[in-house]
Order: sequence, then C-alpha cells, then structure tokens
Amino acid sequence: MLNRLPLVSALALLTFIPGCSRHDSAVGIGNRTQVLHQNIGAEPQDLDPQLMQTNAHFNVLMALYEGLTGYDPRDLHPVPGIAERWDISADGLVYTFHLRADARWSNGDPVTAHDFAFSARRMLSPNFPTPYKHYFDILRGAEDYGAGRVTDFSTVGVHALDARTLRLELRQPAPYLLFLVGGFMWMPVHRATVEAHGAFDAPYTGWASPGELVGNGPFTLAAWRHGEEIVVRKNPRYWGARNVRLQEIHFHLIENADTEERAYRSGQLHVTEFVPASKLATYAETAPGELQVVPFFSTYLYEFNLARPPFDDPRVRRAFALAIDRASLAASQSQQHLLPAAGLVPPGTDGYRFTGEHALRFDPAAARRLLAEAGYPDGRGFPSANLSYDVSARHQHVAEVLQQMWEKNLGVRVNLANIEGRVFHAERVQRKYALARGGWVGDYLDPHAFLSVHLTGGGQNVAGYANPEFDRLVRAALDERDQAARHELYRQAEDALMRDLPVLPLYHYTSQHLVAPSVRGRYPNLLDYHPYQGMWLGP
Amino acid sequence: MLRFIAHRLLQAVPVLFIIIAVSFFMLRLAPGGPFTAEKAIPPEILRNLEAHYGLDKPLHVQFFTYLGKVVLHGDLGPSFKYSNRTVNEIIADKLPVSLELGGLALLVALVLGLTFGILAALRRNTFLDYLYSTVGMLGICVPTFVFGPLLVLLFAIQLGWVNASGWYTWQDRVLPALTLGFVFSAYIMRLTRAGMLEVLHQDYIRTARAKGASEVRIVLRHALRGGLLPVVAFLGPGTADLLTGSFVIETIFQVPGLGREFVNSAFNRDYTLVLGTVILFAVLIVACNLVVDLVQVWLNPKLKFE
Repeated sequence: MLNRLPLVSALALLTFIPGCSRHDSAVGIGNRTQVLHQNIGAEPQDLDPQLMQTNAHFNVLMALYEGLTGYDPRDLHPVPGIAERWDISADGLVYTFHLRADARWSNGDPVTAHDFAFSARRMLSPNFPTPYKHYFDILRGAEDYGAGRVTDFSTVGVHALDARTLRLELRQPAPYLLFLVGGFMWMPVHRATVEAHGAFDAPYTGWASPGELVGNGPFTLAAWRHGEEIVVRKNPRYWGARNVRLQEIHFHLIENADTEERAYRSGQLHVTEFVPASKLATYAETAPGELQVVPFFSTYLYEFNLARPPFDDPRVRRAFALAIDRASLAASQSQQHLLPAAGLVPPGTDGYRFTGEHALRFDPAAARRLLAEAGYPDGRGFPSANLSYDVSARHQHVAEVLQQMWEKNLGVRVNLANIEGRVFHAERVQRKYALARGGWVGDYLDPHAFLSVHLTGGGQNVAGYANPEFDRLVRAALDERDQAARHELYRQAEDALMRDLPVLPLYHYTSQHLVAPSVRGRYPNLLDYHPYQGMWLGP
Repeated sequence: MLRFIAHRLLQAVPVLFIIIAVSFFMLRLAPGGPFTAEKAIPPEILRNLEAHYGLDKPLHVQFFTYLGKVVLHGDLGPSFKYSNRTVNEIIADKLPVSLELGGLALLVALVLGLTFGILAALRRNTFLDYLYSTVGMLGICVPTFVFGPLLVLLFAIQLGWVNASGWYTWQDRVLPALTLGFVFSAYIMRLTRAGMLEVLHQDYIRTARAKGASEVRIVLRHALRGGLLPVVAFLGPGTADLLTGSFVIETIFQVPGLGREFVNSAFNRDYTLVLGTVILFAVLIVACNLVVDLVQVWLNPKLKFE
C-alpha cells in the first residue's frame, strides 16, 4: 500500500485540474457579446467624479458620467455632450450652454442646468476635499467662494437660467474652457442621490456605489468587486444609447504589469493599462499591431530647491540643464519612444511647439563655463547635494544616468536618495531635497495646463517659483483671441521659465498599452482618453 | 488542560497590547500620512480631513480612543484609502478569500509533504529518496514569483486550461493553491523525513517490528505520531502565515485577499487598515501556536500540560 501512496497523492492533485481542455477566453466571449475587458491598474478610491485625486481613472468616469461637452475619440476636440450647442460672448467671458432635452440620469430624471450649478457649488464648497478646486477658479467669484471669504453662491459665475440653459461667467477668457467642461472635475452629480447619503459637500458618503450610484453617462455601475473588477452595463436611458454598441465593460483592477501581461496573453483582457518594460521589444517584433506606444501629454522633470545653495543660483541650474544629453537618456529607454524635452510643454497642442533662446539643449562646454562662473570650476567645492526620488525602477534608472552625465560633464557627483513613496512626497512638500523627481500630466489640451502650474502662489507650485513677467505673459495669452499670437505669448512665457529653470524637464512620456485586434473605434491620442460611445468589438 | 489554555490566553493579553502599541506608534512616527500625495492638497482642506478622522488630537489620546473602540466594540475604524468602507468590512470581505486560498494550499502542502516525506524516510539513501529530497530542496529554493508564472505559462497560456489571473471560478483556485502549497510542502516533506528517520531508529519501532507488525501499521500507528512532531511545530506559525494571505501569490494571480491589502496599506499609510490586519494576524498566530502546543502534548507522551 505504501508503494501506491505517491500515485494516490498524484491522483488527488489531478482532480484539481479541471476539464483539461482549452476553455473559451473572456476576450473571445466578449467579442461575441460586446463585453469589453479593460484593465485600469490601481483601484479608484471612490467613483465620485468630484473626488478624484488624479486623472488616472478618467476612463472609468467617462463610462458613468457625461459633462457639458464630450471629446472626439481621435483628436479629442470638444464635441457636444449634455450640451447640444453653446454661445460664446464676443469678449469670450460668457458661455451659454443649451442642454439637450433628452438628457437623462440613469434613474430617469432629466439632466438639468441646475444639476451642473449644484455640482459646481459642491466642488467649490470649502469643506469639500478636492485637489481640483482651482480648475473652477476661472469662474467669476469662484476663488473667493472656494476659500470661504464669500458665502453667497450667487456671486459665483454659474447660473442656471432655466432647466436647459446654463450660463458660465469667466473672470478672464479661457480658450480651453470647452475642453475643461468635458473633464471629470466638471462632470455633474445627481443632487437627490448625493443628499440622500449626507450633507451635499460631505466626502466619501458611499453614494457612488453599486445600487446607489445615479449617473448620466452611457453606462451604469453594475458591480464593484474590490480588488477584482468594476463592471458597468449599457445605460438604456442615455440620450445616445442607440449608438452605443458595447453592452458591458469590465474594468479589471490588476496592479502588477507582469500579471496583467499574462492575463492579456491568456485572453482575459482586451486592453492593458501598462506594458512591462521587458516585454516592449518582444511585442514590437512579434505583435506590432497590438502594441500602442504613443506620446502622452506629460513631462518627466526634476525640481530644484530654489531656496538654498547650490541650486538657488540660476547659473548652477543652467549648468546642470546643459550637461544633460537628453537624446541619449531617451535612447537608454529606447523601446518607450520617449521624446527629449526642449521645454516644459509637450508638443501637440494645436501645433504649439516650444522654440526659443533658452530651449533645453546639450552643451557640456557651456555647462562647465557656467559652473565655473558660479564658483565651482570643474566641480571643485561643489556642496553635497541629494537627488531624491520615490522608489521605482524607472526613477532609479533616470537618476543613475543623470548622475553619470553630471559627473562626466561637470565633475560633480550628486548623491542618489531612493525614498519610499509617502516619505518622498512628505519631504518634497517640506523641500527637504536639492533635486527631486517630479512630473506633470496635462488635464486639458492647452499649453496653459502646464504653464499655469508655475504661476506665483499656485497650489501645485511646490518649488515656490515667482516671476511677475512670466505671470503677465501667461495671463496675457488667455486674453489673446488670435491663436498664432497666443502661441507666441506662450513661447515667450516658456522661454522665461526655461531661463529661470525652477524645474528641469527631461522628456515627455508615452502611454503604452496592449490592445487586442478586435477592439474597434479606440484611437491612440495625446491624453489617453477613450470615449466608449463609438467603441465596439469586432470578430 | 483548561487551566493551561486559560493561562495561555491570559499571557496573550499583554502580548497583543504590546503589538498594538508598538505598531500604532511606529506607524504614526513614519513620515508621510494617509493624505500625502503627489498632488499637494491645500492646507485648509488637509486640516478639515485630519479633524474629520481625529488625527488632529494628541497622539496618546488617539491611541487610547482607538484601543477603546477595538477592545469594547471590536471596531477597527474607517479605512483611509477606501474612504467609505470600514476596516471591519474590508477584513470581512477579504479574509474568506485568504482562508480559502490558505486552506487549499495547506491541503496541497500536507498531501504532498507528508506522503513524500514518509516515503523518502522509508527508502532512505535510495534513488527515490534523492529524487524527493532534490524536488523538496527545489521547492524551498525556487521563489513563488518564479514558480507561479511558470505554472501560468504552461497551464493558462500554452494549454489554456485555466485563467492566468483572477478569483472568479473554482478553476481560478488551482494555480495559486498549487504554487503556495508547493513551497510549504517542500518544508513539510523535509521535516517529515527528518522526524521519521529519527523515530524509525527508536527501540519501540524495533519492538513493533519484532512483534511482527506490518510495515503499514508500524509507519501509520507507531512512527508517524512521533515523526510528525517537528512538522506540527512548524505548522503553528506556518498555518497562520498561509491563512493570512500572501502578498506575492495574491499579486501574481490577482487574488483579492488580505495579504495584498496588508502590504499596500503600509505603503498607503492607511493607519487603521495596517493596525486592523496586524491585530488579526497577531491573534491568529497566538491561536495557532496554542493549538500546536495542545497537539504536541497529545502526540508526545513525554510532554505534560504545565
């Protein structure tokens, strides 16, 4: 009997293995039933569009809600959303939106201008914890109300003239406003649902959960299995429902890029959120049609500590900038098709591309000269300086490449400080660094999305940069109606920024996905936004 | 025996208190907080949030408030990351998954480990012994993040029998349980082999043989009881470890268990979730050790409840 024990154990284990035949994959079934399987990586904290902390989950929100405008899936220009048309006053300060008569919430209530006014009031309430409040500051009176200096909401430039007419009054022209009002921070929330769960401006009351959430997008929330998936189902009450072909979308919550890639290969996913760096070359060779690597509206950069030596000296900052060979830095991660940065704003916004006297370039001789002028000939006497970054293979790689470039071209050796994420962000706010890893992703397709970060006193202006000339140029650009003249003002503003270098742009990221050939109507674009209204699955 | 159990339970109280206190203060002394993020939140909103969660009070007040809620109501507080869920809800949601995975893995580990451990001991220094021992050593040496993806490559991607990841159908349980169980089976196999070898040389086994007892009877009735002692000692903390989830296995196979929550909660500075999982793990380990001690006394006539 003892001799047969291994056999018995092996049989016991074999019973684990089911069917022993190739099963039908989720992708295969999905193609037949119009069920899209897309991974979105980390789980969202909440599905309340006004509580998002980053734009990473916009693709889920776009299924559940719709703003005044929507986006063309190819180039993202604003198209009618809940508003079917709009009028803009001659001075560019008053926008009147005319809402569709057939726009409905998922419970059947009509979507009205009052819903948008309510949502703006909620967003601007001083109690409401959102990092995106400043996106409403463009409205007249919004800043004072948001800071609690004024308590009368009627002073804010959002007015529901009637159920189907919404008027926005701006404090200065904003050529990107039509784009902005399609974004997640401007998506409306359903007042009765929000207030049934707590005060109108109380965060995290749980109203945005399955069975409770009332949205106005092409899909409704069907299930949220924590750590597994968020499932949305076609919303029959959506005004454009007859053109929506997808029946369901499963947003998977796989955080690990390797796990995700294996799931893709075994037919569990149509669209991945990442591509493991080690797999980029393989896919480029074996399945180039499934690999999407396209420019992303973002800039990878380092922040200087402007408050203390050595980087309080603009000559030192410039020397460090000139000593970087961006082309070879990008080439060292060649599979990612990174674009070396000449300035802060990524190219691609209506033809804007930064050029100028202070455009970033590689000039080691000039870099050494500047460093000598600043009192550190050949790096002699240069104080000890830390380059801090949060733990990640990419940040580590970039930091090591730059450390070598600076050592070779300037004779200066910076210390690398690889710091756990939360510690890093806490220290960054306290400015406990000489150089820190940073980055920016634009929320709307306009150079203003990048340049406005560095306005004096701005909420995300961690470096504390202040230059009245730069502020004037950026504000003047908003008032300019002619696009060529506006781009010229942006060019001058960016040139001033690159002269002062409060931040050191390195390259522009790319977005990287694996997309199954059966996915139709999904187009690579600069913000990686993919409206689902026109998406469908082929054979 | 009841006195022994009562005594051990009393001992557990200060142990748990110290674990909670040390974790609480270590966590709070770590830089960064639950609301630290790449995009800075305006200071006045940060203050509102901190007041909402009581983080603005002195640390010792927060500690005793927390301790009071845990002890009196079993209330582990709201999670900071998953803002509209409580830690109790998260544990109730995820612990069953970890228990299921851990239980299956334990089954795999015991079936494989005991069988091959006993066989290796009985066929000492033969080809079979070397084979089992080599595989066992491999099981200990090859990390799960290598073994798991290899299984996925074969069974999910090449053969297409199961999914590469997820936790939806019973088929999804197979690969994670095998991966996690295999590693543990290797330890159990080596401990069983060593334990059995020691016992098989004892006088009472020779006596049993002399009496003409069958080999099966000798092994299962007489030798196994003593031979399992090292395995049982290992199973105490081992079981607690298996049942509370594995960060690596849960990440490789996208299993929505507690292990991933535990590790991520530390990165997220989700104070209440970290403490909640720490308390749960501590209680499980204390409980498993107690059970192991009871089993050991039962198995080993030389031990008494003292």
